[in-house]
Amino acid sequence: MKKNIVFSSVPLFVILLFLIATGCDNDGISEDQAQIEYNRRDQLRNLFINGILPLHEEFALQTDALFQATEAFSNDTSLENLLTLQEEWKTTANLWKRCEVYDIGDIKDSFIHTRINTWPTNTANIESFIGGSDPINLNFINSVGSSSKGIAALEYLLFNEDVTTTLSDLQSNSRRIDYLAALSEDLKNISEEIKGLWNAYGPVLTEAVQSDLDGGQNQTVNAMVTLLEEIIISKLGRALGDANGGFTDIEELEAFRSDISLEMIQKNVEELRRAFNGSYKENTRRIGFDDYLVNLDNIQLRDAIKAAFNTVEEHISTFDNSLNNILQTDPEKVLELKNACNELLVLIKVDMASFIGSTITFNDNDGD
Amino acid sequence: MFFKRYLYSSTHIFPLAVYRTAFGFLMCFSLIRFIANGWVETCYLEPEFHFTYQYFDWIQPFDSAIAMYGIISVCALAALCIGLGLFYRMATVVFFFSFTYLELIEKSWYLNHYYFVSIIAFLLCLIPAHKGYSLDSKWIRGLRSNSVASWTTFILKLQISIVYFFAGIAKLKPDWLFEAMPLKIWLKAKTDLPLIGELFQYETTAYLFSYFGVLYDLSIPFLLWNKRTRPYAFIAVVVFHSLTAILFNIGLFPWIMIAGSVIFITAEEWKELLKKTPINLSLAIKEQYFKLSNLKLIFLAVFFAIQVLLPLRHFLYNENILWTERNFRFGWNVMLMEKNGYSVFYVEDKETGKRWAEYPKNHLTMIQEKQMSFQPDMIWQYARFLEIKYKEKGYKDVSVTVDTYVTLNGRPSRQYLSGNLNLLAVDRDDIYDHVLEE
Repeated sequence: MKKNIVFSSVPLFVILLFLIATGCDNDGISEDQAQIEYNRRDQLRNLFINGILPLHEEFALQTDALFQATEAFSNDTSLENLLTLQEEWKTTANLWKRCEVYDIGDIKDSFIHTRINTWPTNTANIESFIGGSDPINLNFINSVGSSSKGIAALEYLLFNEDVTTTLSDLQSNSRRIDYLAALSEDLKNISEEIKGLWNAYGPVLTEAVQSDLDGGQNQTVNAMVTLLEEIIISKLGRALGDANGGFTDIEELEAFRSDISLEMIQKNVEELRRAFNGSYKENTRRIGFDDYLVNLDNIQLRDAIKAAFNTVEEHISTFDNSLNNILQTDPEKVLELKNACNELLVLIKVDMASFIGSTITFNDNDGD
Repeated sequence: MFFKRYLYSSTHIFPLAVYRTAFGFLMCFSLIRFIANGWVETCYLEPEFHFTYQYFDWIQPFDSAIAMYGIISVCALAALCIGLGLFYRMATVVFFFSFTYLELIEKSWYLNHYYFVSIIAFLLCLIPAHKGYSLDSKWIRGLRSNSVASWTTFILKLQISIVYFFAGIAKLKPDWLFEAMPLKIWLKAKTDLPLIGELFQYETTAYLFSYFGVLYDLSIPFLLWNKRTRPYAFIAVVVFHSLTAILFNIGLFPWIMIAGSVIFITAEEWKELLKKTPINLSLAIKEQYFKLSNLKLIFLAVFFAIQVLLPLRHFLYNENILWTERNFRFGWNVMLMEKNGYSVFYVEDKETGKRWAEYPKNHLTMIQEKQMSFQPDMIWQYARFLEIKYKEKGYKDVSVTVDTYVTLNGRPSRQYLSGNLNLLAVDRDDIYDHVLEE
């Protein structure tokens, strides 16, 4: 009879035990727990409010400046206006390299980053569009693929040849100027669009304090890893011959036409560091992953990552010439930079991700 | 002799029928979920290269999506038939072969519970679990019976006990016992969980969970076998696995184990449990003596000897199995580690001396890349894949090395294999000997 009572009570026991296990004091959270959540939320707020938002506002302003410079050049195709336009493009491209890491959440899902910058650009398509008869305007640009527009396509039109030839090519073909103007206007519009996306998604990100894959911290770590891998595999590796049997090729550099590939990588790394340190703005609680690691008592890892960032930046600072030149004269130096980036990647992708419980691979398989 | 008499004696079919139904429906759901989650593409169709199991390299997926979806659909249908007890004999064989085929295609998707499912499916092929409470028994009068041989439920209970017991043995490691790893990491990442999350910030909680986990695994088979402790053991099973389901991303594993434990509940106990429901379970059974041939007995003895020896084989090597992963699979090493790695391969054309990097992400899916990064045999396999790839491109003589770093249970990452080791000059089984000290 005793056995019967026990078995009849199985569901009750299950519920009771579950409640015991889960029903601990829920009137509030402990000080340490509050600190962890506060730090996470604070880190994400810092990331969005002091980092991402002003950066994308600045990018929107800069694309407007680029558009103004394009308009000025369209009205007066002088050398001076072309040089101004080229400088505006460089500023825009470098600024974008700071935004590049923040391909997160809704922004990532929207694929807007590919519309802003996809490289290498499809030069054959661009030339065929210019050589065609369809009117080139904003509608037309909206209809073309990502590899025929954006920052990389603008670079092709502005830097493919030396400045004299570029000027002459533009002066002699109004459709080329039309394409340039439409690209510039499109970029300005997309920059407003991405700003709007961030305004909508930012509050969601800052509240994503959970530790699952949708958590803001995990998404940020994954975005940092993605960019670091992009630097290693595509921005440096391909030029070093990783994809063609070991033959260096400057045309595999991201911005070999304008020769600012190194600056772009530098901007990428600077922003990665900011994302790690949370050091966006003076006089604020600049909490980043470094503080979070300290909070979890892993000062050693924080210091190792900071040292790895220093090493990468030191390598970049020793480049006394552009990446185009160094790749031809001293490829070993570029390889060293890639190796330094690799060491940084291991620390973030392997050590940090593992330690903070962030799953780098979006492995939705049922693991056990 | 007593044991033999027990094995050949009759027992009520109801527990076996419940188990069959739970297993079948759960597997059917699992396979439908597999399709719905898009894992057919991720696991079978998208990869350019598959990490096959040793001795099973001949098992490959079909290129056709229709074929792969077809096989999984047939597998799901067979599972449904097992649940319903419809065409049971054919369904168990079809399910066993199709599920095992699917499991053997891709090593990076190895999961202990997939292996467990294959074993149970195999055992069900031997068991007439359709003699009662099934559509087969409803339609085939001669088949109908409310009793089966006791060995039929015994072998299922034994298999489940082996899983638990060796999962417990596997936890008797310094990381688990003295460092509360990996639970320390996993629980700290779950502090945001409602109600209980706050407890996870304390290391004491991780230690308590670790010790409870090992005690649970080692004792639960015995507690489930024992009539007096069984009710409490079953409650513990439900609570334990429900907690693991809440805390960790382990899919259907908890539910498979909960469903598995119902085989321990006897017909008498079911009668008590169901007495407040309209189901009136008659305990009367036709007493029979189900003698097993010696051949079948020997077969089962060998089968279970293998099941006992497989989890023990790593003891032949004096090394940290968590680090080297030699003989790690098929050993019930469940949830033992937080391991992560990163690998870059280097190919050298020996004719020209040119050397370049090969990034796994260029050829592997994310899960493949992740799993390969810390498993020596998979690193070895990927090197062979690169060799074939470059030979097809016209490179006659290449060497492949790897720069790989691995972190285990929160410790700083360490180089895993020497960067100078030509992986092509190493045999598959010997790769573990080249794993560097942690």
